[in-house]
Amino acid sequence: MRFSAASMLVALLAPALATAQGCGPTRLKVTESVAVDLPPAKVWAIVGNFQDMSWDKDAVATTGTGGDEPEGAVRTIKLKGGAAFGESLYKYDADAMSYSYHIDTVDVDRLPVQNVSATIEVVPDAGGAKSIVRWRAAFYRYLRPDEPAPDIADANAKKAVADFLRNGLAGLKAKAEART
Amino acid sequence: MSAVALLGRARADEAYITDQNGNDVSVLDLAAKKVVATIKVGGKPAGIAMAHDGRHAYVSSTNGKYVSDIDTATRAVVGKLDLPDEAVGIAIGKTDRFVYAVGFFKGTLFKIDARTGDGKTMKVVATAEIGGTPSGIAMTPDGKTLVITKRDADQMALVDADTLRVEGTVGVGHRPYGIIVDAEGKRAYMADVYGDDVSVVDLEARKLAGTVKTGKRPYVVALAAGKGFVTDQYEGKVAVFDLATLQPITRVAVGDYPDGIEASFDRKSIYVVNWESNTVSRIDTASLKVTATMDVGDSPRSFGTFLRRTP
Repeated sequence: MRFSAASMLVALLAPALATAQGCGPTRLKVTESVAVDLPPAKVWAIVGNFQDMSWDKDAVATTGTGGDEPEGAVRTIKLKGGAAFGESLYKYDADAMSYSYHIDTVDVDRLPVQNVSATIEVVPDAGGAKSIVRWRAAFYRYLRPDEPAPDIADANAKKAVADFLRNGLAGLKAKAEART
Repeated sequence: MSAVALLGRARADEAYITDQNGNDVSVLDLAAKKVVATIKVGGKPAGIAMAHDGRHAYVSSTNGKYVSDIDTATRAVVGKLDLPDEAVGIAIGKTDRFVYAVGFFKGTLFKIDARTGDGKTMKVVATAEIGGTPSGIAMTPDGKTLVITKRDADQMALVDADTLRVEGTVGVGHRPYGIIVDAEGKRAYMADVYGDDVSVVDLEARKLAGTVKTGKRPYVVALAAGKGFVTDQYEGKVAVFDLATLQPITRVAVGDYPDGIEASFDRKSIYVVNWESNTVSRIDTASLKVTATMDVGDSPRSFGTFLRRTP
């Protein structure tokens, strides 16, 4: 087996830098929203089923059990590119048109984050004729031994999550508005 | 002294709220129930240690890797100390002269003299290697011993506050984080984030005395009126338990993702800092009901001691 000088150096440095496991000390928040040209009830009909993430173009399959039962429902989402997220529902409010879940297993190469909790909600706009969908996530960045300065590493994690949420919402808007 | 003069001097107790993503500290007037001042601190502030005399608050900034000294009379940052590591946990010594901070990644305990030179310059005067991702830190009431949670070692360390000698370690629950010592100095209570429970350590025997089941991802513990109060981050609740029997009593719904928690000086209230909701909840320790919800800055945490008794 051959080792390059560079890989030997990384192997020596890695243990010293990676003394803490898992997540960084700053919990981060990201919120993305999209305007949809449909009344809230119609949007909720598309997005309000915890077991169905087909409105998100990044999701190729959703499998799960427990329907919309908080503290019972779970789902696994397979994304384009092969990554999978295991998620569990902890709040569901059909009247408020909102649900909240945790991501229990996250592919850190797809999203460099840990301890994710997320909420999706539909609120009325333009007197109820239209909707705004808000998808927010709270998380810690995933620690890597080779990561840049903390502010940059946090910014990278936030950008990855923001891109994921924004792309998902763009898919929702396209799907919802294609029906009319 | 006339009644008018007495009224003129009365000022409400305050809560100093570290707004981590807001990069500032909100000064919350607990009688008016609103923020009366915002102090720019920077560096993603998280931990806080309030001096016993209420004159200074010491705030740890994680990303920025520094500790700020806030003068509470002028509500201004009067000192800043750079550290070689990101510190979250920070505690005040008994005489208010020394501040203790633990470095999260490199595992070092820093003893900081807050009164060097002109009385305004902080300086590290001693260090000790703790290891295991030290997170929470608290002082025993006699000022002699520090207790520190080692998050990644599932241990609590006991350290001599004077010499910084590590006196021993106790095996506790899974991923211990926020820690507090009772007023008698007999027991330490710490939240085991991944164990969904609180570990109780007998400080004299240096052994685990009991475990209390909580909700999901407990973070910090407060003690008052014979009860323990724990922030269950994932459930948006405070788990309440009996200190004598170590049995759960009830769960009180507060804001989303509750983080820091502390009992008022008269022990009649518990203040809970809700990181996701950007609010502070007040719970009455007798009725166990939420009696106030107050807006503060962005992503509030106040990990440590954050209540200030105004003179």
